[in-house]
Amino acid sequence: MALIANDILQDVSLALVEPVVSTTVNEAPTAGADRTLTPAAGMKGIYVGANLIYGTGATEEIITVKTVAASSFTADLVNTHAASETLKGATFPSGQTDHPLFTQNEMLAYLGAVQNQYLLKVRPIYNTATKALSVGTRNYTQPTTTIRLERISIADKPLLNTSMSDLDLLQPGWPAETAPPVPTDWFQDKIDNEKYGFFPMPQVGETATLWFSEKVATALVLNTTLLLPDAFAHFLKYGVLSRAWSKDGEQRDPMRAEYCDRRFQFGVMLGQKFIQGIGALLSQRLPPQSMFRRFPLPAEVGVG
Amino acid sequence: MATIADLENAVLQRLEEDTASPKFWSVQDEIRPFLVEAMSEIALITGEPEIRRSALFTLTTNTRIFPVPTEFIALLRMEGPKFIEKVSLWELDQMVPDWEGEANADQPKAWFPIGLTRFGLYPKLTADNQVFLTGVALPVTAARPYAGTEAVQFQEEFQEGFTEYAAHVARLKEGGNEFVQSIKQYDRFLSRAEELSHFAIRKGSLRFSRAAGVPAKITDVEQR
Repeated sequence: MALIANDILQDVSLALVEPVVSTTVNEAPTAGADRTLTPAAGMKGIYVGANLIYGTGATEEIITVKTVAASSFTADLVNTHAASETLKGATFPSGQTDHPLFTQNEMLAYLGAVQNQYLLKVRPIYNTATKALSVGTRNYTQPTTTIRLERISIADKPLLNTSMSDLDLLQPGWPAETAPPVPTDWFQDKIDNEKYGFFPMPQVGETATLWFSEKVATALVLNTTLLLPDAFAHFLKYGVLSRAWSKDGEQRDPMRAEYCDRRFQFGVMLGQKFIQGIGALLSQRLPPQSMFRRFPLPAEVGVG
Repeated sequence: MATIADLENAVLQRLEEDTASPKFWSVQDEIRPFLVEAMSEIALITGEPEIRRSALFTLTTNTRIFPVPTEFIALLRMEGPKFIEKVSLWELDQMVPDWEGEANADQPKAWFPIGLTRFGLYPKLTADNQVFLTGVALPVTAARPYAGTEAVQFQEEFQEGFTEYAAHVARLKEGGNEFVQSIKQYDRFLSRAEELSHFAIRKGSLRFSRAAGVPAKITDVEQR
């Protein structure tokens, strides 16, 4: 089953020796404001402002702690819950609320960046989308979740991936051409970022099918399902830990940051080899791959 | 077949933890996920385990793109009833530019991977068709938290590698000398992965091939 952001952040929390919330709620609260919730395992890891995943399936929601007491806390609920529903969350409570070592938003941002970095380097996930072409409009914006446009087809025919440079050299009058009415080529150079264009300019209202490698465009929340398949997800843990141990402050640990970074890079290399080995890339070739290193941690790194 | 629970105590012993009530590491939240992590990593290194899905997969009418079943990391082969050739999207565009417009009532002529999570069909079918799929299996498909009853889909001689990996990763939170000295455990895991790779290549060297074409050389099995 697909892992969620909280699963990875829980792994990160445990490596950072931070408590995690993983319990049930005694009550059966109804939806509404300022509901009192009593965690069965106590209040460890729960503080004002912490986000938690409450419930499963249809009742699952992200709640934010409003007030805390010795054995309970309050939060606004969108859903009504049964007794003993699950309550979980990687909350990074150390130093909360005035001198936190890490914050949830910070760690979610690291995780989002690491996932997109992995998706960019390996490109294991692809998607398709359609775009209605407007008569007389040459350039369009690619879908927001696009890393790279790989292929465009119109009416079940693939278009040639060209460039403005090629067109300028081969057909200097190309910007004025309008025949044939359905585009035969597409390009991405010398226009705005995240845009693509057609040649000739569309003269009929056709629909283009875009094939693209996919990233995550929106900020992660605790229960966001990871786009990266489960077999690769543990490399994200190392990417996040590398950042956590690299940042300035009490948790700074260059040796473990270096190790985790190398484990992440090893995971990237492994993913690239795997994808290329089974021929799952839409593009024909990958850039040159990094060297295989047997040990992620070089022998000369100092201990401390 | 062994389960994750069968490997837990070996990990705890390597960590000098009380196997009855461990203090510093959680079996459910740390040891078991580390064992699953080890199996995932060895699956990516070796392409094992390779499984043939017993349940038929339905290729539905007039559909070009299908999701890869979640029990696979990657799809390797399709048959139903004949072997269905694996190609690439790039090859189809070059060799059969009008391929997207074709439709055929019989079994498909070819399939192509679209990343890891989807695959495409050529041509589209005008009637449902059922096929057997073979792929690299996701070692553990159960959701977290792991119960310990999840099967370990690898032969016994490779399982010590998983306990070594889990013990090494567990010591990451100790840091310092304690962690550096555990690198040797990770090395033993990689050594097991290397052995499994040799076995995987002996079984089927075309596992990692873009298309099931003529191999560059015959495998050890074929030569024998």
